[in-house]
Amino acid sequence: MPERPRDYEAELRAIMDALAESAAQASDEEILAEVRESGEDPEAVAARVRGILSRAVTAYEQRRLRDAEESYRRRLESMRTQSRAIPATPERRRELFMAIMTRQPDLGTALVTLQNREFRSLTDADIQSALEQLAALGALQEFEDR
Amino acid sequence: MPEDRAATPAELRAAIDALTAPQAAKLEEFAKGRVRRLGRKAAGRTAGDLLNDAVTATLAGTRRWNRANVDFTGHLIGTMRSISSHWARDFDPEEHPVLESELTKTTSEGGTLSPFEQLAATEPDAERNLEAKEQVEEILAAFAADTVVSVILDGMLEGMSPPDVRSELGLSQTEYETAMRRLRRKASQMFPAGGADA
Repeated sequence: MPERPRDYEAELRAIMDALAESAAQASDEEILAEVRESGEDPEAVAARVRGILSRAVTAYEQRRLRDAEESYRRRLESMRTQSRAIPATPERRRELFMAIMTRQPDLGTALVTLQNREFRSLTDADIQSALEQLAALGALQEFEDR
Repeated sequence: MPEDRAATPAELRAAIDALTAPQAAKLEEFAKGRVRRLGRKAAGRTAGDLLNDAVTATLAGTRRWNRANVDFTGHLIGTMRSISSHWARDFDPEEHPVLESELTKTTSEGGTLSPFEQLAATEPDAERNLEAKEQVEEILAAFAADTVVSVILDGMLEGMSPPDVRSELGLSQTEYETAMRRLRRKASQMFPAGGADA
């Protein structure tokens, strides 16, 4: 049976493991002596470590902020995309609104109940607002496609 | 009993501000030691990266800080131990191959000697084992004149735990720690890859 090759990786790992763990177990005096022997100022080392840890906290907080900003930007972009389906002139807006009310009376009933008005008495501002609500719901997409 | 919520940024900031110089130095030394232990498996990550990731894991709640049982330093040490083990497990050797040029040496006659020529081609992980062999031999050679460290190293290579090595040699805690300090210091000079600059 061939001899199993010596596992130097495991040997190196054992040495490095013991070294790392010995640092964790070392007394305060030993650690400070080691820092001084290496030519460093213990307070400078402490400031460096505190700086790394503090920046990690800041980066984590900013990551949450960045996520929230990204989510807001996406929502805004989605609303802008939907709003592009709303016509630019009052006549075209009223025309689109009436078409929706004719083809989808359920939507019309909900809006009339909401607005508590007859379609004919709706102002352009009312129509604009209604179309924006419909756009936010994605209801204008099929009319735009047509 | 484990904490049922992740530590907040404010709690961590307070703990960071309260770190003493020895605690901070110990964290850095441990982080360097773990990165050094990983060697190639660190894939370019530094001790600073390890410290950074330990804080992120604590804030994200993937590692809970059990304040009742362990202080902040102990928590970060445990977290770094766990994260660096994950790094080792996730390491893909094909993405970080050992290059022949890294191991080829110049002989005293001026020629080149490639250790790859001495390997059986089918031996699995032979390159990494060869690289480790060179490092182990380098460490042993560096302490050839230091009897205490040499014997400690022999014990480690035989798989003995540090307390076993200490009692086997009849060393006091101070003598053992002093020898380990010499060993750590030399190792950080020989394998400086664990720098903390993040």
